[in-house]
Amino acid sequence: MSSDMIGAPTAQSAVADQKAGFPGRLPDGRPATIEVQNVSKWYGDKVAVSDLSFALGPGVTALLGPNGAGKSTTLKLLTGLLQPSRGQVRVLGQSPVNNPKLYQQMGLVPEQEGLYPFLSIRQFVELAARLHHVSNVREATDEALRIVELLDVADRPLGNCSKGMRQRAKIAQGLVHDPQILILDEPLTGADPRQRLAMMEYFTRLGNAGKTVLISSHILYEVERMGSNVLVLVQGKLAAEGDFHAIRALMDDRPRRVRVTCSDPRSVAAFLITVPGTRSVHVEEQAIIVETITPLEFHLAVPQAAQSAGAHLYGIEGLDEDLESVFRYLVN
Amino acid sequence: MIEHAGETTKVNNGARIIDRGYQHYQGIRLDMNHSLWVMFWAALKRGLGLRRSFRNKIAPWLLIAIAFLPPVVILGVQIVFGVRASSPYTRIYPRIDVVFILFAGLVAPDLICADRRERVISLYFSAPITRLHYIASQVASLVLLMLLITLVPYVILFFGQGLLSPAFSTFVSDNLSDLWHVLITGAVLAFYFGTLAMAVAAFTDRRAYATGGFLGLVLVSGIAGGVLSRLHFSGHEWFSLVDIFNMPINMMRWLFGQTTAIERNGTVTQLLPLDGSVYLWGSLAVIVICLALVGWRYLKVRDA
Amino acid sequence: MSIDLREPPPSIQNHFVVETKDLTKRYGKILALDRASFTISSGCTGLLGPNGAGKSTLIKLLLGLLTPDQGEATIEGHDVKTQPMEVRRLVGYMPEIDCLPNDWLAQDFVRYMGELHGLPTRVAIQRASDTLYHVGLGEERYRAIGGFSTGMKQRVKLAQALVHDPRIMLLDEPTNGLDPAGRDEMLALIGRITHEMEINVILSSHLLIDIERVADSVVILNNGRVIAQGALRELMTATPAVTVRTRTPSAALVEALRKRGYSVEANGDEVQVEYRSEDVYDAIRDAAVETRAAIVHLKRRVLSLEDIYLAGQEGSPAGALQNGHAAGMTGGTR
Repeated sequence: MSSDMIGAPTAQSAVADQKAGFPGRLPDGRPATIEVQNVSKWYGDKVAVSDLSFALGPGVTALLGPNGAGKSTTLKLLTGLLQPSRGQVRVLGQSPVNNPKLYQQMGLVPEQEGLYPFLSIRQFVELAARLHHVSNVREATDEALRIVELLDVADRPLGNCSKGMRQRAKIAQGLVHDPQILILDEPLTGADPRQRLAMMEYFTRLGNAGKTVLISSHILYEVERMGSNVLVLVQGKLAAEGDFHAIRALMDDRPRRVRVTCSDPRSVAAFLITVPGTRSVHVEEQAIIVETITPLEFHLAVPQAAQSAGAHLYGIEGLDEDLESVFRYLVN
Repeated sequence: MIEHAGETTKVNNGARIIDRGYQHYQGIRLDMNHSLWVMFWAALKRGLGLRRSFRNKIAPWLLIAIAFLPPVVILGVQIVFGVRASSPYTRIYPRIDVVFILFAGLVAPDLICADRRERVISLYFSAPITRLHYIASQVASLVLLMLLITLVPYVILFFGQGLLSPAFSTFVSDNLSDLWHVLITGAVLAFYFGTLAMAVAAFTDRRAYATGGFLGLVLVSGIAGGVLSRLHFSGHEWFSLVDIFNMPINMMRWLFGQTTAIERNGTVTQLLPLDGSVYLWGSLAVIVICLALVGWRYLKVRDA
Repeated sequence: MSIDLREPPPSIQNHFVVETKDLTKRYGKILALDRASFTISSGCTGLLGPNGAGKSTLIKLLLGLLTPDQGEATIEGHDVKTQPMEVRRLVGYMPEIDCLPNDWLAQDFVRYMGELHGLPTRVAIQRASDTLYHVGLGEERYRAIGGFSTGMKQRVKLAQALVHDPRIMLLDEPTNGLDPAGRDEMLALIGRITHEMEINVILSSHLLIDIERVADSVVILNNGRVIAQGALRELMTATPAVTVRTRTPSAALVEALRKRGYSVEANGDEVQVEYRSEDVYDAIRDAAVETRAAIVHLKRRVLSLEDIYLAGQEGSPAGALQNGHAAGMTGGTR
């Protein structure tokens, strides 16, 4: 059964959603699988998230934010474990609250423990497979265990497993039913470097295959390698959404910082300072650090400046283009 | 200008900036006996709920207050009404030992269960102390706290009565055996319930289970032993040793010579099914077994 | 009775901070460490390896919590088998697991740990206060640890390892659970410990990016053996390639470089230019001017720690080295 058919909005619900303000599509025209409109959640006086509105589609999206920003609340709202105090959440066109049929299309890999120590890894994953009405439980379980590399220890009880193994078991139960939407909270906890890379590659492949993968993680360096699409929460509110390179480009109050490594930095600096848009030039022993508000012109000018100064050009490096820098700017 | 290790002081015309960076420690470092002492004191303070929230202080201090009540009341009555209670110990101990049991059952888990549950013990064992130091200090501090309620009030009672009697030295020499019996009873009670509670707490990580387990054990054994030893089959008296609750009390009765009681109708009943000295040995045996259990649990190095 | 640690122990050889020789440890049938031999010099050393490689066993052996079946290990000259207490006095350990007591005040607990390591009480109180300040917990030190956030708890863990002025700190996954700002601060703190406080650090972590940032050398384990060790400076050798990224893919730039005699591998906006000598830089510069290419990234390609690590593991994903094996990798004993 094609996953497009399950949970797709019917004609009536589509109209109803449009009336409620759910466009059903992302700005670039792709279908939105998760839509959140003006969602707030509070507990008495404490506001966990406030006025969230965003849409997610196929591909990998990273959910980022400082501790306490409301990430786990958001994930719970998306999976229907919490009901919004205000606003609406739509996953594949439906509300996820008390919606068992929708859960068959969703996989959740939570951060918390709470597994059954007496179950073996295989039993745990099979349980999830059965709960999600997977037709070929044995094969699906084997495949899920193969992906997380737990196939050869599948019969070990969870209570005897290391934290990393339990984490991978959780991932396996999240994807055993081949869900359309996969939501993961710090999935790589306890994984060693090679396992991390393998899992990251796997999630990227899932995203490329059209699944909606939402990963909450603090390791920005890794998140960056899986995709550029981000959702950034700060103090319960949405601070930014979209491709983080584009987000960076929007930050025109923050000049780009670029390190140019060259021989004769002073002479090169003298040329670069004449480039319009150069805000500052900081001279070091073997390099210069330039702040510019016109990155394109600047990058064009560098080789020319080096040539004119008769200097060797050893390196050009953007210092605040990466996700960590963008995140830092958003949070501060 | 004095330079301390790690500090740099820059001076300009009488003005100075003193950079208090990280300082290395070049002084003396004390050995493991000091650490033992430190752990012992920390456990004492913890048992009394000091440096912790008020909630942690209520139970121990309440129990301590109750434990001191009997001597205070008895001495008070003697002062006010001039009536001296004779052989008060044999009447107080059987009733007050509930307080000892509660105290041990609450404090022992507090001392050793949390350390395992919160896994602080992994930090302790990577410090330069031995496992023996650690567990010995916990047991010792509990026993000392127990002595505070099993022994001190009754020593005070003894000397209090002495001071209130016409001739202090006569009273003391006349009743010296009572003092000895109090010292032995108090010490045995402290070690007995202390090590027993520790033994139970050594086998579970959760304070509630340890307290419940200990109280349950004592209660059940008390009932079982009491019932079984009064049934009529051969050897039934030996089942009184199953009665963990009353073993030290039986020992106390034997020490103070109170092996029989006279009922209202004049008949004499035997309070102790067996010869009294058995209960002394029994108590000592329980103490040794419990220490062994605690030692086995903590000193056996597990490769994990 | 006191112990004077100012005098160096008599048997220091080669001034290694940690030295092991043929270290072996078995758990029943499982061989956790198999004749592991390595040396750790001063500075910050990363300890890496897959899960099950023997890292935690090694850490326990170094702390004197386990005794080796064979082989030996010395920390600052003290043998871990015969002098475990001296070893523990020198080492500050920050475990990976949650191990802090909830109802102690931070100041009290750090002081207590200082005392357990031999500090006199007055000294321990002062040092606990100072250490908590150095790790960034000033005002919070009189609060109960149970109410602390993850970041604050990690700092307390670090403080208790630091309070007794250890010669070496053993940090196990110190950035666990920290958000990006917390990770940044913890790594900066570790850097300060190494360089300002001049305390040697052994850092065990699965995050290669963290190790690259703060460590000077690494020891890589796999299957109980040491498969690589050395200074990062030496291990992360330069490859014969220069990476050039332009704003948009520039076929003209590629052409211009090829015309100059350099072999070029083009992959969208990223181009790898063959490095034969330093002249390649001028060639790139001139070709860029000629073709009006906007270069956003230019760097000699260097082996990353990830490249080195993966090259040593079996069954690594396709992302292993493209340009041959890691040069300069020193193997452990076999």
